[in-house]
This record gives sequence, structure tokens and C-alpha cells, in this order.
Amino acid sequence: MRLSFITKQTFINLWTARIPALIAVFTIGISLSIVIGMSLLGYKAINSFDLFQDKFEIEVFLHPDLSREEILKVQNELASINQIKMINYVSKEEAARIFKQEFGEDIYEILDENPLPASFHIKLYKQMTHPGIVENVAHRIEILPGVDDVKYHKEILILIEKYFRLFSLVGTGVIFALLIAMNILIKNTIKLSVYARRKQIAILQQLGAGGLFIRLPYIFEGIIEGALGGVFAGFLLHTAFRAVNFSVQYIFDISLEFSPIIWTVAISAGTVMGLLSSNRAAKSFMYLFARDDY
Amino acid sequence: MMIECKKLTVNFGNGEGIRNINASFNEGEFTLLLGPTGCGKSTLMRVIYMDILPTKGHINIRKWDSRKISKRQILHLRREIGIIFQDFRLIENLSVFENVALPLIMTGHSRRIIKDRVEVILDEVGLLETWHQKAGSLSGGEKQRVAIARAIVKNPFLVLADEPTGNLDPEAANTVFELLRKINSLGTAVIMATHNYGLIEDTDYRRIYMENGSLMDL
Ligand SMILES: Nc1ncnc2c1ncn2[C@@H]1O[C@H](COP(=O)(O)OP(=O)(O)O)[C@@H](O)[C@H]1O
Ligand SMILES: [Mg+2]
Repeated sequence: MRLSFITKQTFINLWTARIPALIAVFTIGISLSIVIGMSLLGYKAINSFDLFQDKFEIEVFLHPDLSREEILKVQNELASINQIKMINYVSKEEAARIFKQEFGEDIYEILDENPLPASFHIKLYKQMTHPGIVENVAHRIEILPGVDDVKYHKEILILIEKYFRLFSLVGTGVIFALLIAMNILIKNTIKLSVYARRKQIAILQQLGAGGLFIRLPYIFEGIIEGALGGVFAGFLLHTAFRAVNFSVQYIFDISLEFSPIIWTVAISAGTVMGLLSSNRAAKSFMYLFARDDY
Repeated sequence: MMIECKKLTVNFGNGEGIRNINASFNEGEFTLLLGPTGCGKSTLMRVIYMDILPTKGHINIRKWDSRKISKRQILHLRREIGIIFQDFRLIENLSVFENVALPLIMTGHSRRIIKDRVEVILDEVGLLETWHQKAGSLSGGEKQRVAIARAIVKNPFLVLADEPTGNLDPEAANTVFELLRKINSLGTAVIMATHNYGLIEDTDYRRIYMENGSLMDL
């Protein structure tokens, strides 16, 4: 009968303080959906950044009239650069084949002679794909004898670096701020609930009730508010994903798939949040020894 | 010996409280605690259920010693003592049944045992028909009888009653006092603080007089 009594108390408490409880649920829902939404976007961004880093190449074009030995010498020089992970030689013939692949035209049919130079395609180690480092490496390669030109997507690199850093900084900041805000909100709602029942709590303590017996209704209250906030967050995310997918998908090639796991994540995150925040709050206004200031 | 006080002192920091009390109380005894307002009756009772710990001296209640008792043991002590106050201290938005059942609910008894037990006790205090009513809706006399039911539902070895008739009309006061006498006649010790000399004049219970926080030697 203990558990059913505690459960009943929980719902009585929730019902008597239904306005603050509703406010808490809505605010938790909004905050949680922002936190989860931003985390998902962050995850996507990290993935695309990863993909970009994987694909990132520096092209090193060689003088047209280098001998085999001279080409090998350039390759050896390149191999001695620490930041470089992979070197791929692309001969004139191969360049022509790639050209055909990409543009659908045979270079020999347009021109008599193949004007495409031989080149090295270089991949750097992932952690080296920062504008400064890449520029440095490119510069070292440029001055090698036999190298005609060095090309890479400098602007994209700089853009990504700049926004990625800004995004992750702001994102982390916002996520933390919202987590703290939710924590404070639940704590205060529960504290209010406990405070409103301080007399009842004093009576229970005089009767010798255990701490958990007294606290559990308030902890359950926090858990329910958190879980309902999670449900609301899931609903908000679901709606937001549909809207975003509809309008943005074709521009950025980011398709946000709303997986049912998001429901699970939102509700469990809300529940854990509610538990952690209310457990501490439920201990306020509980005194083993009676006070006169009620 | 059920309770033994040795040089028991509670100092509230403003010079008030109780001083240097040496007293003992026996199992099954009915004791009347008498004296003017502010003489320290409530304070002595609060020390007995360890709502306050002594500043000096000590008190032993059965196996519990105020000098060594832990928080958990304080809760166990309170579960074995019934307490009745002048202001009833019921949870007004709960039903009469729930109020009386509380001491059994919190210790994890089954619903069937609780219902049977509460039924017997409510019948004893004459409130069986108020079972479903909210405690807040009862009259003062009824509230105090609910409080008595709540105090004895757990079969305490001691009932503390701090001015239990202070807020009641003479008839209700009489009923409450008679109930306490009945409880005592069934073997439970009762310590009752009161001003109501009319109520107790025909009884030969042990009387303890207090004045200015000390026991008066008679
Ligand atoms: N919590 C408290 N803080 C300060 N003084 C108190 C407190 N409780 C009681 N007192 C003082 O201790 C003395 C004894 O009070 P009390 O035990 O309530 O007397 P009684 O119950 O006999 O009327 C009184 O002078 C009272 O003012
Ligand atoms: Mg008093």
C-alpha cells in the first residue's frame, strides 16, 4: 500500500500545482528539443566535415617535360613531408581519362595533343586539414623543383574551419545553458511543491516516516514532468524535422531523418533530467528536528 | 524503567527551556504533567520523541539513549511512540482512513492488514462512519479522536499527549480523556500535559509539577 499511497500523493501534488507543472513541462519540452536538435545538427556537421576531410586533396601539377627520374625525385620529396598521408601519381594519360569521365568528351578529339599535365594527388592526415597547415604544406611543395602549380580548395577550407568552430562553440554553449536552465526550472518547481507541503512533511517526520517515503512523491513529480517534457520535445522535433526537410533538403543536401529513436532519447533524457533535478530539491524543507518558523 | 532523565537540560539559547531534570517514568504508567504555560511541559515531551536533543544531560527511552542515537533510530523511536497535540496535526486533505493508516503505510504493511487494523481502531474511537471523509471536514473533537486513533494504530508502548483537550469543548474533552484512560488501562503508558484541572481532579494518576523549566519537589 506504500507505493500506491506515494503514487496518489504524486498525482495530488501534480494536480494542485498544475499550472507550474504545465509551465515546467512546456519549457522542458522546448529546451530539450533545442538541445537534441542542436546535438543532431552537430553530429551531422561533424560527419560532413569528416567526409570533407576524407575527400580533401591537394593537386600538385608537374612541369610537362620532366623525366621519370625527376618525377620520382618530386615524389620522394613529397614523401618526406610529415603531414602527407597518401601520394597518388596521375599521369597525362590518366588525367585525360579522368577528364573524359568528368566532362564526357575525349580530349584527343578536341585537341591534337593532350595538354593536361601529370600531377600528384595528395591526401593529408585528417587532423592536418586546417587552412594554416595546408597553406604551409602547399608552400613547401610549390618551391620544389619540377613543380609547376599547387591547387586546393582554399576558400572552402577557410569557410568550413571558421563556421565549424563558431558552430561548435555556440552550440555547446547553448546546450549547456539550456541543460542548466532545465535543471533550475525543475528544481524550483519541486521546491515550490515541497514548500507548499512543509507542514504535512513535518507531520510525517513526527510520525517517524523515512526520508525516501517523504521524498518519493516529489521525485516522481519531477520524473513525470521531465518525461512529459520529453514527449513534448519529441513532438516538437518531429514537427520541426518535417518543416526543415520540406524547405531545406534540396539546398544543403542535408536530409534529417526523424528516427523513432529520437522519441526514446527525448523521453529518457527528460526522465533522467527530472530525476536528477528533483532528488536534490526534494530534500529541501525537510528537518528531522522540528522548526518553529512554519 | 521506561524513561530515565538524568540532569536533562534543553537550552533554547535565550535562557529558556528546561533545566537539570531528573525523573523516571514506568512502563504502563499514566503520568500527568502539570504547571503554568511556559514552564517546559512541551519541551520535555519533545525531548522524549527526540524532536529536540538535550543540550546537557541525557534521556534514555527503552533501548534508545539520546547520547548515541542515530537519525534512523530516531525515526524508529517515533514509530513506537504515539503523539497527540493540542492542534491535532492531521493531514487535512487526506481522508480519515488515510490519516489513521499513515503510520502503517509508511512501514510497508499490506493493504488488507491496514484496513482491518484501522477499522478496529476507528471503531474504538467511535468514528467508523467518517472513514471516507476528509480530515479537514471534521469537528475539533472528532479530529482529536482521529489523532488518537493515528497514535495508537501502531500499538505504541507510550502515548504522549500535549494538552490534548486544549482546543476542545468540555464534552469533547471528556471523550478524549476517557479514550486516553482506556488506552492506558490496556497497558500503554500515557504522559499527558494539561491545564484542565477539572478533567483530572477525580483521578489518582501520578502528577508531576513543573515550574520555570524545572521539576517541583513535592
Ligand atoms: N523553539 C523555541 N525557541 C525558543 N524558546 C522556546 C522554544 N520553545 C519553547 N521555548 C521557551 O521555553 C520555555 C518552555 O516552553 P514550553 O515547553 O513550550 O512550555 P509549556 O509547554 O509548559 O507551556 C518557554 O519559556 C518558551 O518560551
Ligand atoms: Mg506547551
